[in-house]
Amino acid sequence: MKNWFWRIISVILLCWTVNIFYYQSKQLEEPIVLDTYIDMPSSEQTSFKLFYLTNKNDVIELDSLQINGYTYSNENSWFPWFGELSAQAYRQEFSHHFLKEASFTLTEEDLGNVNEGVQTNNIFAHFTNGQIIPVKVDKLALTPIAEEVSIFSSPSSFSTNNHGEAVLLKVEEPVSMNPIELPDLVQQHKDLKVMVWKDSKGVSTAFSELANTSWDQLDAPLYTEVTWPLQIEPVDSVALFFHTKESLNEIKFISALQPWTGKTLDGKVVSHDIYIKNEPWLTQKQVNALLEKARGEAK
Amino acid sequence: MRSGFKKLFIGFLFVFLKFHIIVDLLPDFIGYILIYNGIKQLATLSSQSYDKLKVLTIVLAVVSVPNFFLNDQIIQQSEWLSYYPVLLSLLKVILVYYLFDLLRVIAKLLPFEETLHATNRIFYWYMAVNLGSLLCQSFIINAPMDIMLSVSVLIVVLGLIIEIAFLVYLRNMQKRFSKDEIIE
Repeated sequence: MKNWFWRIISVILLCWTVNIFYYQSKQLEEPIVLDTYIDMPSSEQTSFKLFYLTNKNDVIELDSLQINGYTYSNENSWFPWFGELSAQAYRQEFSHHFLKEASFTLTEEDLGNVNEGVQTNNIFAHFTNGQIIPVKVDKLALTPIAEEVSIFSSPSSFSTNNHGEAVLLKVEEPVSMNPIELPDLVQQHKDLKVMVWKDSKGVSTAFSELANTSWDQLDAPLYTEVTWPLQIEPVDSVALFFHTKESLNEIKFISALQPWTGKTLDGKVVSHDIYIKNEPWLTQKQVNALLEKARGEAK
Repeated sequence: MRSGFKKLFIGFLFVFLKFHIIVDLLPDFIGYILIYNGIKQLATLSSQSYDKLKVLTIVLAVVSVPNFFLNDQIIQQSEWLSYYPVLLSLLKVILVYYLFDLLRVIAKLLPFEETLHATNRIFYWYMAVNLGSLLCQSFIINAPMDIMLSVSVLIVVLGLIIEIAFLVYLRNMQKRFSKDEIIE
């Protein structure tokens, strides 16, 4: 009888050893703050977000952000009662990690400090466990909105399940629009297709259908393949379809307004701000890639 | 013998219950000392000395001393400390396994056949639940949160039931011996 007992004990010990090793191999030594690109207009109260990964079994929150020596508190910092692991607030749950979201609001005075000239290598995230981690920010620009002349209206917009956003635009008068230019850092993470309907009848339905189609099957040209300048009439509808490229190597949070300029028939310069965002919705593979990158840099 | 089972019962009750106010008001190491004394008394009924069992009880008494100070919050804060309760559970299962060798010997000495059946029954259930729970716990550290919570609740409930059943068994064994009974 003793044999079966000690065999079971051996199996239990083996399982524990293997599982502990596997668990330890998935632990982060410090939280990972996702690379960030922010280029947005500012207002009296300007908000922006950061996203970060923590170990599930560590109750750690991003407490504050230090920019050029000034400190701004995270409005989303939620420390669960009695440090209860299962009561943490998170955006996404993975096998061993949480993806969490931090939110910051800057007043006009704060903006003055930030816009003095942000050294993007001088931004640090302070965590509730005392760790201070540099944040890789490719751009942090929060600038006042310039007066723009816009003749566009947006009858509808979509966020789709397959990492995409879409917006339908109409114009009030004939316009000739210049090529849409996406910054290099944004191009690495976003694709854009442009669809023009010459007759607006039934466009809403067609737009909804296209917005819910998978990117590969979406029958519209890439913005680089469109014949520019694009002539748009008031009876026309223009749809912009954005898609986030699934990358294992580069994972970035993007929040940017990209001006799209053009001219009316009477030579008036017009501009429409295209909102480009990429709030992360990660796969387990992407999390594993982030983990390997963090470990590789640490070695 | 009644006194021996009484010490076992109270000892395992101390180990089972945890009233933590700054320290554990029913310390596990006191429980294991009582269990040691109970075993020492009951072992006189057998020709074997059960030295392994006694040594294991002393080891558990020593290893469980930190448990007197530790509460769940402190344990959660340290990653490696979270494995300490698992170690205690494993050692306790091994202790109970060897203890049942002694309990079977005593059950055979009693005139009631049902006692031996009850002893074997509680032994198999105790081992099944505790060994099964130790095995499952090794996997849930890598499981998603919802699975981890569900399985943990199940393990706790089954664990509670079997520990109470074991305590009831010890109490019944205690009652089978009258105060003046002599067993040859």
